Amino acid sequence: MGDFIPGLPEDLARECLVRLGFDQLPAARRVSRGWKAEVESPFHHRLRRPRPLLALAQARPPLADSGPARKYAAAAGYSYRLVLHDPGAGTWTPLPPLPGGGGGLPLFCQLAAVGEGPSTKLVVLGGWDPETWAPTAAVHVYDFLAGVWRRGADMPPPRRSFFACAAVGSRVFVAGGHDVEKNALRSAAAYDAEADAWAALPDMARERDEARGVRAGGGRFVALGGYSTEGQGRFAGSAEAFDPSTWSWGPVRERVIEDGACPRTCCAAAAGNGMMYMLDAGRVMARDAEDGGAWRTVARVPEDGRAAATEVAAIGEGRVAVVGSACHGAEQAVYVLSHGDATAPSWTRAAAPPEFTGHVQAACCVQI
Amino acid sequence: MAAADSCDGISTSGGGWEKTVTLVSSDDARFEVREAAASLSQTVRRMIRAGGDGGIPLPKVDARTLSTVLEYCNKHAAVPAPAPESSSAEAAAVDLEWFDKELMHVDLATLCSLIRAADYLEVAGLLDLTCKTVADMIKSKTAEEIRQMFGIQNDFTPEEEEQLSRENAGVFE
Repeated sequence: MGDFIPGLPEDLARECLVRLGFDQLPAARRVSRGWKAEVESPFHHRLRRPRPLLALAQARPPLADSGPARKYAAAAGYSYRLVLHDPGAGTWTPLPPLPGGGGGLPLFCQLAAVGEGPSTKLVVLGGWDPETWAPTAAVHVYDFLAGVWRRGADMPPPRRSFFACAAVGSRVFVAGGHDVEKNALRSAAAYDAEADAWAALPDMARERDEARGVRAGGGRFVALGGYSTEGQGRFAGSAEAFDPSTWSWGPVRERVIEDGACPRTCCAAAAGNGMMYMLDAGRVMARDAEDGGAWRTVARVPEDGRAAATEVAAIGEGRVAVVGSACHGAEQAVYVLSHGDATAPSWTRAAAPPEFTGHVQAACCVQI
Repeated sequence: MAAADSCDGISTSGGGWEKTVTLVSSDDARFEVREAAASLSQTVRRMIRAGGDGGIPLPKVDARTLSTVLEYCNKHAAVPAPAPESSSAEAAAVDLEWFDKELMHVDLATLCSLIRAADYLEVAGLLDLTCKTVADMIKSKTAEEIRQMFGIQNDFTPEEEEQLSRENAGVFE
């Protein structure tokens, strides 16, 4: 017992196992009882150096050969897949395709990572069926230990598109968006990934189509911005926060972001302290305090990624990943901003093989 | 020393100008090493401070393993503190990475000896490199291939195997 690796004492074998990549865990836990216990233990995951990964819903590379087939594929739209980028190691790893159908991700689906350590799961929610463009209620959950997708319980009705979504604690919250008749929604729900069950939330005070979900301090979920059915496309800057401990929404707070601003690049700092980032005119902005906080400029996005910076995800330790490109439709790159109180903000551009430069429609940080 | 360098261009790679220490392996081989390189080992650094003569005994490391460890230390101690973003720093980093990769072209038994030595000598960089190498060896291997590589017994019961297969098939319990 305890001989993880013959020839090495247990503590040194453990030093090797904590350096396994996320995609090696499924095979590693099937090696022996000792390996399984080690890989699944929370202790193992505390030893692992914090390694934030960036989950990207990214367009597959176009078919290599040109010709009618390729033209057809282009006309039919992109096919998206999930790619995990490790900013520390500079690796890009596609996840297996979703079970059933063509395996492509729904268009405009949302991503959220729940749980921590061995039980971390990546959840793909909603979006439009890539073939029919019909909104789907489907939920898929990626289990990093087993290395497989599981079909989760469907999102409860109404069938919503362009909703706010964020993981807070062990739950994924969804709120707002619009129904199949393009009515902006006030309703919201929460998904418990362990129990694979949905619970309805009380309605929000406002209708919020195209709202953004953000994790806030104190374990709360914030639905930010969006617009009402009458206000088509006129974004409000208000927000409301749901507190799971009282199972209720707090009062509406006005002007959290500027009225008229699309909230889609807002994201919460990884520390969960209520700090938020967002993009504004090619700059990364940050807002410290929960209440009445003002937005300040952190850094300008590098010029070659500025014109079409679309996704922002905080990945911890003062680092923010921005996905952008020099112009719409061009190859996309991942830029990571490091900033802190003591250091000047600096950017690194992740080198990506051509097959990982496709358009990114959603991103989230996964801590494994 | 820097002055000597600049006036007559003598290379310091021979270590002639530097302070050296003598390390003694478990099988009594003696290695004369630049102190700067030997000090990458926290264990050796403490023993240097403690003083004494006749060489520093390292009874847990044999000559073969120690020579590889010292190869690592010599290379890594020679690298000056990098001025970030300069092209020479980048080239040095690439060179070092290549060196590390080459050094890790060894069989599993040797790798395990190096891990134990790096741990005992407290050479943090080498411990990280060797453990990462073991982790990388497991890449894209099946559970059975991993067992064979390390000589590990499959101690799962048939029931446990079945449960694992079910989980891998993507079924919620």
